[in-house]
Amino acid sequence: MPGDDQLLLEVKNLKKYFPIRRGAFGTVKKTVKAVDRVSFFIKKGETFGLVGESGSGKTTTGRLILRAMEPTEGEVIYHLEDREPFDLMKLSKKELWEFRRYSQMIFQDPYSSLNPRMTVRDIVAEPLIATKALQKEAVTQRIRETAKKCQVSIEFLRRYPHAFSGGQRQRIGIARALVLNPPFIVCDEPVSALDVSIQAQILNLLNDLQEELDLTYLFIAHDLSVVEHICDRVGVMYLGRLFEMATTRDLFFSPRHPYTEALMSAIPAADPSIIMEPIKLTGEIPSPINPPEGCSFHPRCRYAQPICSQSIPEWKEYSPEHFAACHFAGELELKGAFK
Amino acid sequence: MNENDLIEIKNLRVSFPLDEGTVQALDGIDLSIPKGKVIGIVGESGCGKSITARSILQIIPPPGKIDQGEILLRTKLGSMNDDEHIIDLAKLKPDSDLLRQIRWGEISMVFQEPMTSFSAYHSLGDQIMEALLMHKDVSKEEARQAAIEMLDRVGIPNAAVRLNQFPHEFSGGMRQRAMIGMALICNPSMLIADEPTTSLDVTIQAQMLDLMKDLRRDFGSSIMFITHNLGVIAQIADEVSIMYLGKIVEQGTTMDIFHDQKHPYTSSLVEAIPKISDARKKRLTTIRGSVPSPFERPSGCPFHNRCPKMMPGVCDVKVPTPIDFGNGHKAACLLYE
Ligand SMILES: Nc1ncnc2c1ncn2[C@@H]1O[C@H](COP(=O)(O)OP(=O)(O)O)[C@@H](O)[C@H]1O
Ligand SMILES: Nc1ncnc2c1ncn2[C@@H]1O[C@H](COP(=O)(O)OP(=O)(O)O)[C@@H](O)[C@H]1O
Ligand code: SF4
Ligand SMILES: [Mg+2]
Ligand SMILES: [Mg+2]
Repeated sequence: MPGDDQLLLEVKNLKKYFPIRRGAFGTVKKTVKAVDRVSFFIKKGETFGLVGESGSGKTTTGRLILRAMEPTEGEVIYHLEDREPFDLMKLSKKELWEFRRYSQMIFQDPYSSLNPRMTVRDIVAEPLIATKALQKEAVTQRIRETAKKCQVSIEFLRRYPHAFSGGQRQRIGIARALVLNPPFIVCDEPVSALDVSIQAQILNLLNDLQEELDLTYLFIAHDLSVVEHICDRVGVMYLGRLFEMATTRDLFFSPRHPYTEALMSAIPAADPSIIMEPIKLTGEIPSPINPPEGCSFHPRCRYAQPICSQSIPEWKEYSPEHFAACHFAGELELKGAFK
Repeated sequence: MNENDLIEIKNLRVSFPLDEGTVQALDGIDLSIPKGKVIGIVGESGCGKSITARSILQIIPPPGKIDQGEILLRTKLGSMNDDEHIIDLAKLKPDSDLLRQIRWGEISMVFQEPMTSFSAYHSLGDQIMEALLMHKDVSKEEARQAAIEMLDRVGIPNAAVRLNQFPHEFSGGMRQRAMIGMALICNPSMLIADEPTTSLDVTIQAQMLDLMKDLRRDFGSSIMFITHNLGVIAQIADEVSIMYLGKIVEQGTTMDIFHDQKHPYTSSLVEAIPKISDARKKRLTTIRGSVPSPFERPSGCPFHNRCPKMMPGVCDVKVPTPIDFGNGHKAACLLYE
């Protein structure tokens, strides 16, 4: 574990169980364990990636650590520059409102997250107005500065977002997230809907902004080449659980969890001279309502032993900052991604 | 038409007359699809990939229409003496019997969203059997057996039971497999796959790619594989066509496209993808601006206003024609004229 002075936040034993109501009286019969006993940390100034199949709990985790959604259980300790460390989950409504200026979100589909009846200026200004962070005169100045940083041209401010391309809309989404100067941004699949040429523009922009403004990112994505490119450290989720967390290099080239190994083997290399040998995962992804006993990956794991269906593997640090939850994480020799 | 080609598209032009003006969706496409090969079609959204595929089957959404060009298919269907002959699909009526036979029997198509292929109201098995019963002379029991075998073939466990389930009872990956199963049940000569793996997770995507490779090997089918994912294309295609604004700007073997690009658009695309083991956070090569609106087609070379090698006074004036670099490698760029 890194020292407190390096940390932006620590997540401890985070859980989110969604009740599923069924039957005539809407009685709660079962729950979806969308996020289950997840612990990790994010360092100041880094990009921390979260990967995993759809439905594995990435978005829910991202929302929980901003408390955009109430957790079932767990702590999220923030270490902000000008404040004592505090547990976000213990803040009052009013304190939570003040916390908004420390963190914002960027979404996958900038179009659906933008109100079509608002001008670009109103969209970017909204967080400023809502939090009353600035005097009226200062608002225009701040919007112009932010637009410029995010490569949104000033003439666009008076227009409506539907007229813009995907890349421009994503820049508007980024400007809106940055207008309060927050140190921390949760980026939920920000480039997944974009064509490669536009994806490259947005990834470069996010990198430039991080350098210039000292930002910390949580970067959620399912394209592993993008994650490898932009993240400093990465966590892998499966059925609501965190299976592995390490530096990008360790995770991609010396994975410790069999599921990570399978993910890495499946990355399609953009080079026809590399012959892929993807590990075949047998069976279907189990239902999050009824996850398998023990290690939830055991029915699909090629290294599974009897113990794997009996007990839940411990989340342990195997080498400095390399964590995994597998009974055999200390012994297995796993293959990483191609280079 | 070359002996080995199943399909040859010649100078295909498709437009959409809209209130705001006419969209030239395809602006003179030339493309051959050899027997038993996987042909990749790549390009940014709106460049005409889906319309190219849909033209072959004449399922272009209205008001789109074929203005010009030929789509030649080598087939036994519609032939008097059961010998192969060549027909021009562009000349057939969209609702003609022959085209209907061709649609499942000879060429079938899978889409990004499998639910567009299936009806929610019938069991998956019934739908797959229906496709077979309509096109082949088989009994109901034979159709059932064939459907079970096919589901098994595409990796759906417990096929005999799952046959009776409805599409919504399948996970996304399984539905995608079932859709491919249905597309292949009549043993078509060609499968058109329009972004079939775009919404799938990497492990399922890898399985789908494996499945397609097996099918090509076992059935000898040609596959037209449309995607904007260059990683997927590198792994599956034998030959690749790169499209931009309704034109094919470069085509060649997959090796040529990834290791010896001629067109600046192709180079830019290949350089813009983050590659594993790159120095982290290194700047990616970008393409400036974005694809122009279909109502504002640039003069000259359609890529000139974004091209890093644009020659003023040439590229904005002259329309490039494809230059042949040998071995089927062609590029339409004025740098070489
Ligand atoms: N509001 C909700 N109500 C019920 N279930 C939900 C809700 N939000 C998410 N889930 C479930 O929680 C799981 C995790 O979802 P999500 O966090 O969106 O995953 P990801 O972002 O990795 O795709 C999924 O099984 C999803 O269906
Ligand atoms: N239903 C439609 N109505 C009007 N224009 C369309 C329609 N479908 C496609 N087009 C036009 O045709 C062009 C090519 O579209 P398409 O083949 O779907 O692109 P791609 O599949 O490469 O993303 C686009 O520029 C689009 O404007
Ligand atoms: S704990 Fe067992 S089943 Fe789970 S990943 Fe490790 S070896 Fe596989
Ligand atoms: Mg999500
Ligand atoms: Mg398309």
